[in-house]
Amino acid sequence: MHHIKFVVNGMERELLVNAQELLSDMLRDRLGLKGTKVACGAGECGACTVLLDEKPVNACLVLAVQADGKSILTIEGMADGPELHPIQKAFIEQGAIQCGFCTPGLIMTTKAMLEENPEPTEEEVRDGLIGHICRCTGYQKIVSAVVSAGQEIQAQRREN
Amino acid sequence: MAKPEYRIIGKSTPFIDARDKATGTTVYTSDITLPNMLYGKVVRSTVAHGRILSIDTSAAERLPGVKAVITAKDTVAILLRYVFVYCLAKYELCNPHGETVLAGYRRLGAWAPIYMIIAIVIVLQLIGTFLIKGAVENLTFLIPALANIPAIILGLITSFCVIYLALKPLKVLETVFKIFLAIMTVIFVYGMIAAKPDLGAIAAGAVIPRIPEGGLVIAVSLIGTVGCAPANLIYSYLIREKGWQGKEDLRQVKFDLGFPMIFMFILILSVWVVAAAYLKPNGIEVNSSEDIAKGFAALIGPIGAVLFHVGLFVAIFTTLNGLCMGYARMVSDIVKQFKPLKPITVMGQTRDWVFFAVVAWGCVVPLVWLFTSAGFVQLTVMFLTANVFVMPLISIGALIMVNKKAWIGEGNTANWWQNAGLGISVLLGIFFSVQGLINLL
Repeated sequence: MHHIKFVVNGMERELLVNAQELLSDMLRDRLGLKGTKVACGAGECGACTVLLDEKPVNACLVLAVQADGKSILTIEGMADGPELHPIQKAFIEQGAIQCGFCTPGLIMTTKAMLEENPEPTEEEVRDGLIGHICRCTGYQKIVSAVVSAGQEIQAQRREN
Repeated sequence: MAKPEYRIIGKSTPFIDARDKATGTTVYTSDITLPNMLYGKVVRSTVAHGRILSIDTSAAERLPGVKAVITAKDTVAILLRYVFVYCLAKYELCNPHGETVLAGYRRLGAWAPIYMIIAIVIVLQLIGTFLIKGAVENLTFLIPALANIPAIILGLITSFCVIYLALKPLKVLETVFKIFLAIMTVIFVYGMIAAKPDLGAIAAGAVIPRIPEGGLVIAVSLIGTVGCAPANLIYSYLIREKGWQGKEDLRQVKFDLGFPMIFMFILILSVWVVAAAYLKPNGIEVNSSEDIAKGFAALIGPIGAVLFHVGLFVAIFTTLNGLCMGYARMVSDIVKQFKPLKPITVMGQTRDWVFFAVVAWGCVVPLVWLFTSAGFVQLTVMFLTANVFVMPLISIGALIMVNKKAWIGEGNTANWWQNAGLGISVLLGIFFSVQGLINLL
């Protein structure tokens, strides 16, 4: 057993975890953060993506102990109270969600991508989301949502 | 021309659960956690278009924490019953003599139908007692004031209602009953999910129904009620009433029979699970239906017990009704093969005296037992045992009937799966008879 300390969605947490425990299992089963989805469990689909110190990782390929001393952001930490994050809004408005199973992972990766490249082109978005599989939408609407989310965030920044 | 203004057409509408999905609050199946939940894993063939030659589950079963490994083998019991009843229906519809299944049995020898009548008479008496006792128990629970009335009176009222409704069916009541049965199914299945199932024991129970140790009598008897051997014969009588006449209707039989079988399987399984997995480990001895009701109350609150009692009452009522009518028709059919019977009309139903006598035997005579102290447990064991003695005859007879060209007709003889199913039924029938004997001794 390992005693680890970390911040998840802005809250400090301490847990005793097994050496082989996965970050995805810790989030879902120990902390009840079921918004993080596990589809393939093998790092192929990106559904379980969370931000570990602001970098997107597949939570099913990261050990819980690796989160020690780090900050985790999951889909549950995206909205500010009732106010949705602009990326979430864009996904809803652009019809980028169908069954929704890949959505949390996509939104997390999008967040990291837009931090690095605030206004990506369509091609850059497709490249940035390469680690994600969506079986419903055909990706076009997801790409549009990410592009428009980037523009919206930039517009807000200019206003402030 | 001005564009018309629409409220909905031409407007973009975010779909209803998009917000939940974008915030990760939508609950998917894999997000559901229940107490003592088990995890299942489907293992698929590694070869596309492969043929399964054998499945070796021993290594998987040895793994720590593995409760059960279930393969197609575990569905055998219900499949057997399906094949069995289907074959009998096939005989009824296809034989060129236009005779009933029981007339077919007579071809085995005059002793066969007589043996069957004796078996039916015993079985019906036991099942009648069992069901009326159950009905009275349920009534007293639902309306506590009734507890002051002697059980015999309540039993009498129940019997009267059963007979009355059998002769004069009420469409409205049938619908109400169906709704109650549906409710019971729902709470049973819910109970099954909420309880902690020991899949191994349940799988074993579904394949080889037997009388387990401890207090699982009720669960077993429910299985007996729906699965008893002579009752399987009733179906071929029902199809006549549906107006199905010949070979061309056999296709419909497949579906007509398949659906309730699946339904029964779920129902039986859930009773098993609730009884085996929840009641026993929690120290609840099952001696009457009251104890199972307690289990449901513990699982879903006080309403659980009420729903259970209502559902059980309806189930008992309809089973008694169906079995009495079915058996009565069978016995009267057998007797008619030996001598013609004069028709009598009672309440608009024209039948013969044998028919009415059997109905009375099943519905009224059992009331006598209410005076005695014969317990639930003894009755159930007797009932199951009686069943078990008829089973070999019925299955061996069926196997012969569907294979003799002269009997079932050219081109109608059983194919491989029908023969395999019946063959296994014969073996199981013999096996159960031996077990039943051992239980008796």
